[in-house]
Order: sequence, then C-alpha cells, then structure tokens
Amino acid sequence: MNTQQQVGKPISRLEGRLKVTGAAKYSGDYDVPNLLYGYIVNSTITKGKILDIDESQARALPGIIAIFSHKNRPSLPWFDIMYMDMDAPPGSPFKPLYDDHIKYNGQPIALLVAESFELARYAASLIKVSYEKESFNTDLEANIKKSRSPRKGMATLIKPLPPSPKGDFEKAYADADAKASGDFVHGTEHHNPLELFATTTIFEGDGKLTVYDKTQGTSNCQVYIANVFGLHYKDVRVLSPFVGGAFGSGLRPQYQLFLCVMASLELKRNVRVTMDRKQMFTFGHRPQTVQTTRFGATSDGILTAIDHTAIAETSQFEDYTEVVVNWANILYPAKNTKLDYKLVPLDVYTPIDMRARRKYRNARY
Amino acid sequence: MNNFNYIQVANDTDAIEELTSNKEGQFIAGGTNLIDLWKYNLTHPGTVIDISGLKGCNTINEDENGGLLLGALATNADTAYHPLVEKYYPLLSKAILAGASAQIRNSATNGGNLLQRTRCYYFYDASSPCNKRNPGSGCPAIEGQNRMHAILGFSDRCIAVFPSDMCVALAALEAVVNVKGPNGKRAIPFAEFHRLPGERPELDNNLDAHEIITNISLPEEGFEENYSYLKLRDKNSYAFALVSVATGLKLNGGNIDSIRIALGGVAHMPWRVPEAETYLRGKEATEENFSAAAAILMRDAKGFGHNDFKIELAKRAIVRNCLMALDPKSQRPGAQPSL
Repeated sequence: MNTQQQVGKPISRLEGRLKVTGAAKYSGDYDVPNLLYGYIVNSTITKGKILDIDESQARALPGIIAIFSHKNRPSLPWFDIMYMDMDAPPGSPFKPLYDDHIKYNGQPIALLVAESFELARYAASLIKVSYEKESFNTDLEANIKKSRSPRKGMATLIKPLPPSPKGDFEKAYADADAKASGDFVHGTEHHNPLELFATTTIFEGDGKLTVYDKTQGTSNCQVYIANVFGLHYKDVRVLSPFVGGAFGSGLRPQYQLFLCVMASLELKRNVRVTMDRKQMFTFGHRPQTVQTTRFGATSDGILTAIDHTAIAETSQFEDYTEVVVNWANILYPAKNTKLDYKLVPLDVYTPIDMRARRKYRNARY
Repeated sequence: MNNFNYIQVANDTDAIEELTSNKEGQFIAGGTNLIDLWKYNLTHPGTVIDISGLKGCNTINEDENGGLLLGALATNADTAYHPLVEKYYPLLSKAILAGASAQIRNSATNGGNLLQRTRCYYFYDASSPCNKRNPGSGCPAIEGQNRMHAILGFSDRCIAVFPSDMCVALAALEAVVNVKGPNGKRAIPFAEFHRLPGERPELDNNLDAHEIITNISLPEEGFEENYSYLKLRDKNSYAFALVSVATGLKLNGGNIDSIRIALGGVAHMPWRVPEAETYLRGKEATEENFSAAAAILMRDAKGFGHNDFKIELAKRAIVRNCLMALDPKSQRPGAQPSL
C-alpha cells in the first residue's frame, strides 16, 4: 500500500455513521427492563461537616425507592488500597458517601433512587442539608507559598518528575547574550465531553453484574468495582462500546459508577445514574497552574539556559501531577537548566489528565 | 420535575381567568426560559397554562397609526424575518437575530422575550443566596463573580442585568407594550415596562400579577435608513451580551436630526439617557460628538471588579455603533444572525 496516496483523502470512522445517526448507544441510553433511576445530591459548601440531611419531603413522594447517604450506605472497605484505581495518583482516593466530611464543593453526598429520572431529580431538590462550614482554600495564586514537592508513587513511572538541575543556570542566564522571560497563569479547565457521565448497572443475580459505564478504561472500572464491593473480577462485566468524548475525564472511575453499582447491589435491581451538565463540573479537571519561565541564548540563537517552574493545584487527598516543565529541555537540550514542578493542595477534587493544549488566562512579563 | 397540571386556553380572557384562579399557575408559550428555570429548581409550577394557541396573538399586522402590531405569541424568528419588520424595522430584526440560537428563536415568543429572567449565575444557582429569587437573602454577585453584571442602575440589593437583545431595539424604537388583565387593558410605554432593582429586585417589570401581554406596538418611525445593532460577547454565537448598543437616527444633511441610543447588558433594563440624545440633536454626525454622547451615557457607570472593563467597552461600542448606523451596510459581527 502506498501510504502517500491516503493523505488528504476522507475516511469514515468505523462508528461514524452510528454516532451521527444516533444509533450508537451510550452508557445512559440502554433500554433495560425494570430500570430504576438515580440522581445525585451534591454538597453546596466547600469544606466542613454535614450536620443533618432532612429527607422527609423527598421520602413522602410516591415513587421514591431509596435515599442513600453516609448515614445508611452499606458497609464497605475503609482502607485506601481497595479504592485505588489503575490511574490513581499517590494519596488516599476519594470514597463517596464515606462519612460526614465535605472535602470540596460539589462533593456527592446522597443518591436518590426513583421510578423515573425526573422524579429523582425533583426529589433531590427537596432534600435539605445543614452543614457546619469551615474556611477553605481554592485559590492557587493566594496559596502559592504553600507549594511543596509531589509525593511519588506508581503514577510517577509514566509521568516522570522533572530531571535534576544541570550546569549553572543563574550564571548562564546572567551571561546570556539574549534573554526572554514570562509568567503565565492557567485557570481550571473542565473536560465536559458531549456524553454525560452515566452508568447503567444490570443486576444479573448470583453476584454477577453487567455495567455500562462512561469510561475510557473498562478493565480499570471492573477491578475498581470488584475491589470496592467485594465481588469476583469474573462476575463484573464492564462495557463501553462508544465513547462520546472524554479527553481524559474517563481515565478514572467517577463517582456515579460507585453510586450506581452500590444502589444496584443494595436494591437488587437494575439502576441507572446519569449526571447532569452542572454535575460535570464536580470531579476531575485540569488543574490551575502558575508558571514562570526564563530563557538565555547566545547571539547566534543557541539556547544555553532554561528555567521553567510550574506550580499546580491538587486536592487535599491525592497528589495529581502533570508533565509540564520537562519538555523544553527535551526539545532544546540546553546545558544549563532548572526545571521544577510543585503542588499546592487545595480544597478541590483531584485533577485528572486533559488532552489538548491549555489556554492561559494571564501573561505577566 | 414536580407533578403538575397542564391546561390549554384558547383566548386571553380564559388565560387571565386560569392564571387568577390557579395560585401556582404559570403561563407557557415558547417555554425556552420556563423549562430552564424549572429544571434548575428555581420554579415549580403547579399548573402550566399553555397560551401558545391563543387566538389572534401570533400575527404581525400594520396598525391604523402607520406602525406595526407584533403579536405576543409570534415567534422571535417569524418577527425577525417578517417582510414588514425587515423593511421598516431592520434594527429590530438585527437585534433579534443577534440573540440566542436559531432553534431558540424558532420557539421563543415576543411576549416571552420581554419576560425572560436574568442569567446572573447566582440567580440560576438554587443553593446561592439571591435577593431576586429569595428576597432578603443577599446578593453574592456584588463581591463575587460579576463579569456579566450591571454598571448602571443597580442597587445594593441586586446588580443583575436584563439579558434580552430584542428589547434593546424595542427601547430604541419606543415600542408600546399592550397588556390585558382582570381590570381591563392598558398600554405601557417601553421605558416604563421594565424596572430597576431598587429595593425590590424580585420584580423584573411592571406587569401586574395576573396580566398578560397581548401585543407590542411599533410606532411609525423605524429608522430604516440609519440604524445599527452591535452586540459584544465572549463568543460570537449563543452568548448573552456583555454590552450591546441599538442606534437609530435621522440625518438632515450631515447633521443629526434625531437619534435614539439604547444599551443592553449594562443594567436591569434596556438603558437610555435622553440627555445624550438631546446633546446630539442638530450636531454633526462625527466620532467626536458620538464620543461626547457616550461619556454622558456612562457618566454614572460603576464597575464591581470583574465587570470594570464594561465601562470603556460600552463607550467604544456606542461610538462604533453610531458610526455604523451612518452606513448600515458596514454593520459587523453583532449584526449577523447568531447561530
């Protein structure tokens, strides 16, 4: 085959027709008999404690099957390792409905299960939650002095931390014929793929589950569910025939998977949990960063000195890292480099990989 | 979504009667705002009164005064593309097409456009305090995220803006809103239809509780020779105005015979300052004079942090739009239909 002749010619994706005609089914689309519908209640404070969840108005509605919260969730493992998925950064993974502590704004705190999605969503609006608020930090720039080196773990193997300094940057920069520098601030970015995060769980009986999940890694979800809920790997089948966009947001099991499987196992029913568009802002995102750069070069255009420091946010419970500062020195091997990457833990959910380039919010020269 | 009753009404008398007798009742026509508000748990109507089939309210006709009568239930799209509107009121046509998306304009009605709620982030978030939604609970926008908020006519209780494009043109055209209620009909001049937040931000306009808009009268003068609508927004489609300007003017040689300038995206209602228009009367249509008028329009403007940029943006938009009105063919992005 002459590959040259293929360049520039249109080619149909295998699933292209199915997707554009609406024939492709996503995880929230499967028409399953006797299905129950879940809707998630999220915290409206950023940090603190749940004092009370008043469910009385919601429970009074006909068609409400169950309301789950930290007060009545099933007994589940409490040690971190059972919740660690294959893409988990070093730290202690978030455990939905684990206790009354609020770690970030939008944290899932209850699941309503009802005969219809609309009813579950309406009932969720009738849940009254009272909190004890604590002061919180979500502003990277205001907390920049709290930056520290990331913890190392399995993730460090595929996402290496910056190499050690080479040569003498400060001297090379001072001696450089030409200099350039700039500071850049990136805001938080959310993936928001077209396909909403959703899970449909089919309760097969005999300890078996079939799970349609919005994910980029079915085996990751299979192992996660089996570990958290004490099932055999072979009894959990996770399917995701189509991905309606993800850009990295589907790399880790998200909380609707946990909640949907939990409800299905507890109620012994088929259950679907679909997030709405607003809830798509309540989990992984690309972190805010503050980056400083300094470059020195000779008069004939050879880079001699590179200084690139990035300070990024992470959650209070996991050390998510990106490879941000390693690239310049791979592309332009200068003899004197100072590359540094630091984290500031904030009261937010753990960031996650995002494909595509960043847009910077502010450049300060 | 809560359980609700659904009834259809065939004429305005029945509509008013149903609204008066159903305490939790709300009208629905195009539904483009009500359904949104409902899904966000900002409203839970007990009875939805469907007025989309009201007789005689979806037409656009010439009236006996030489103007035009726009039915309250005519859609935004039908209005913008109506031959008489395009020919005699192109400013209105352009303003409507600068708003929303084709799908929304196909469904949204003229009456509904006047009654849409603000898109303030805090108003739309049921878990936030908001004096407009829950009087007395506070206004987080004043110290919070306020990029889209008001720079004029705000109060210490509310800095929300009214989001309509269509109404900015209607304000410039000095339309009249015809309404009907249990006590009969009345005609409300456009400048008196919407209101400033003041002490009662929960009220967007001066329509009484059980009144219904039947149609909107456009006066004969449509400024079809010299007009322009400029809408500045974060993206060029499906976004509300940060600042918009509607200009209609009459020239006498190179001098301004009369001019109307209305602003959107800057206040709780379409914003006009008669003094700025009087200032320009009889003067040459120059950048310098428009700039002086812009300064009068922005004299009392104040930012709240994120929206400080709107003051300078509005001044420049006013000047640019007035210059474009001298040659309507020169109108650029804001005047193109929003996709």
